Formats: sequence, C-alpha cells, structure tokens
Amino acid sequence: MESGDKKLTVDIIDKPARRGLLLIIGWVGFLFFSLVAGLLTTVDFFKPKVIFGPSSRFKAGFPDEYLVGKVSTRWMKEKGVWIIRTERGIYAFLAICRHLGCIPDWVEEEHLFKCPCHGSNYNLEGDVVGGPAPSPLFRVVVSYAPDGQLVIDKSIKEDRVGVREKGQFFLPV
Amino acid sequence: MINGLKRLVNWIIHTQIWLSIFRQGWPNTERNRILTILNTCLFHLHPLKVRTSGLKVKYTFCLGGISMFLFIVETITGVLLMFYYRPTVEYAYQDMKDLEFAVTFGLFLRNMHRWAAHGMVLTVILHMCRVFYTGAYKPPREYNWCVGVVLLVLTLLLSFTGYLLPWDQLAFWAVTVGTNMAKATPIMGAEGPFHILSEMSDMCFYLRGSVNISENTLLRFYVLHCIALPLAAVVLMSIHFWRVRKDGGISGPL
Repeated sequence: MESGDKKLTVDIIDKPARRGLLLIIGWVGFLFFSLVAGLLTTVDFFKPKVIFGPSSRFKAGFPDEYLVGKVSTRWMKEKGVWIIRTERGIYAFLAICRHLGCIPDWVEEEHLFKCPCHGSNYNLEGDVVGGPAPSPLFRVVVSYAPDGQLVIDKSIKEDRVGVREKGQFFLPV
Repeated sequence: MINGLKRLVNWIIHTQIWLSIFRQGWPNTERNRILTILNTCLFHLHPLKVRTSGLKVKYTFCLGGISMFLFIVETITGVLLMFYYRPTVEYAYQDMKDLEFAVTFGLFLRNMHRWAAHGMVLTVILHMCRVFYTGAYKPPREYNWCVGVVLLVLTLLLSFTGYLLPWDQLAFWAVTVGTNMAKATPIMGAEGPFHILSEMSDMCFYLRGSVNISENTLLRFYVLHCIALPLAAVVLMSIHFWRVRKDGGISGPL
C-alpha cells in the first residue's frame, strides 16, 4: 500500500511538463467559464423578463378638448403626463422630475412646474428655472389616432433643444 | 431541606440529559471554566478572558454590544411584524395600519422596530468612531475593521430596504429618490457618466425590478430586508466577534 502511494506521488511530480500544462489550462478554463457563466446567469436572474403595468400608449381625447394657452392636468393622476396646447399646436411633458424622479406640480398662478421633493422649477418649455434638476423635462410623442383622437406614447422621450420642439414631439393643430 | 436541595441538584447535573448538554463540570475551577468556554457555542465567540481594562465603560461605551443588542431587538420585533404583514401593493399599507390599530401591541412592536433601527444606525456609526479614536483599527485588527465597514453598509441597507415596506407616501417617494440615485452610477447607470446601459437594464432597474417603483420593488426589498441582508449580517457579525477574540480581545493597548 505504502509503495503504491509513493509511486503515485512520483508520477505526479515526474509527469511530463506538457501534460501538466494541459491540466492547468483545462482547469483554469473550466473554472473561468463556470465562474463567468455563473455570474452572468445570476445577474440575468435578477432582471425581470416580464413587467406588468399599464401601456405606455394611450388615447387622450380630441384636440378641441384642450384649451389654447393652458396646461392640462387631465391625465396627470392616471398617466403622469401634462398636455399643453399653444396657438400652433400640442405637446406633452412626462411628469417626472429630472432631478430624482418625483412628480412635480403644475402651479397655475406662477406658470411653473414645481417639484415638491427638492424644489426644482420648470417653465412652460420644460426648461429648468430653479432648483437642482440637471436637465429639462422630457417631452413625449403626440400623434393622431385614425378616429381623430390624440395618442400619447410615453416610451419615446426627448429633452434636447432643437429636437424636442418638432417632428413627432409636436403636433400642429 | 438544604441537603435535599443539594441532592436534587447533584442528581440533575448527573442525568444523561444534563451531561449531554454540558460536558464539563461546574465552572468552579480554572480548567472547567476554560472547558465551559470551549464547549459552548456562544462563549466560543466571546473572548476566553476579558481584561479588567475591558470592563471600563468609558473606553468602549459598549457601543458594539449595544448595536448587537439592537440587532436582536430588530430580529425579534421584525419576525413578529412578519406575522401580520403581506408585501403586496394591495395589502402592504393596510397591514401596516392594522398593525398599528388592530394587532395586540402592534403599535408598540412597530415603534420598537423603528426606533431600534434608528438607534442601530447611530450606535454602529459611533462604534466606528470609537474604534477609530482609540486606534483599534491598527494591525492586527485591520481585517476586522474591514468586516466592520461591510457591517455598517449592511446596517444602512437594512434601514433603506425597510423604509419602503410601509408603502405610504413617504416610503414610496423616499425610495423613488433613493433608487433614482443609482441611475447616476458611472457606466452601470442609465444617466451616469460613461453610461452604456439603457433604462431597462441599468442598476436602478435591477434595484427596482421594473422602471418605476412597483410590486416587484416591494417584494425585492422585502426579501432583502427580511432574509438576505440579516443572514449576511449574522454571518459577518459572527466573524467580527470571533476576530475580536482572536486579535487580542476588546479594548486596551496590545
């Protein structure tokens, strides 16, 4: 038994260098890939594949239901969107503060969107006029449905000056 | 009478049940005292001997001990609260209100859980200050300092995850703001510097389990608050206390 053990030990030490190297490559490869695979699977596990919630597209009634020069808070509670009608057309803001994600209030008397959490203020263009917010309010897509109603799509948003005022983000009426 | 009592005690400590629990004799000799420490799980974490200087309250203010005590209070009151709390959007707020108004001692339990949580954050931070000011982070205790820093982070995460569970306006918006900060993480956040991930796959999304605070977020925070974080804290605390003993016991210059 003892001589057998000794033989085994000698075998491992005397093993040709190439076989030892292959063994190391094999083990390192195996451990590396199982670690990477394990890590990626774990990360992927924590990412939900299906999220349940209301659709980001919704019909918002006919353009005539919105008064010129007014900010409509009609869809605020349900959808979190302000719809604004000017003389030229209609655009919509996503009611999420760009600072840390609270819901600002539309204050009619001051003509400002004011966030209660940390005091960010936005004007009618969505630009920051006070408080800590780093960027302007997001505008979302406004279009017509075949029946003539407005369709708001919250999944596409834009805050860049020059892009946000035209195209799909502004609906001439 | 006295003799009868002595005989009874003698009989009890020689029964198989007693001897299977306590293998050593009465701890009235040096040898039996050491065996008592060695053979008892909890004493095993506790130092074998405590220095006289370690008994001076003004040196450590027992801040680590108070933190541990508050953690036990949190565990007991937390488990009791779990009996009446369902982490769903439909029930969470109602169950929290029921705990306050309908459950026997529910309000007391909830307040105890809340104040002990505030207290724990305070004592853990003060404990860290004490360790710093007495230089107790220096070798050979530098490893235990690092374990302590992780425990501080766990304490803060426990407070943060517990914040959402009442599901009231304060909870909702505090956690909205708190998790939104994760968006500003470099590389891993959707709005941070060098961002490469979208809103649907950044750190904030993983924290919330959705784009906005939702049912997923509530469940995630509940599981973290009640299972994952306390388990991690218990494991690290065991290492922390054991290391205190291994590194030369509490307080006093080495």
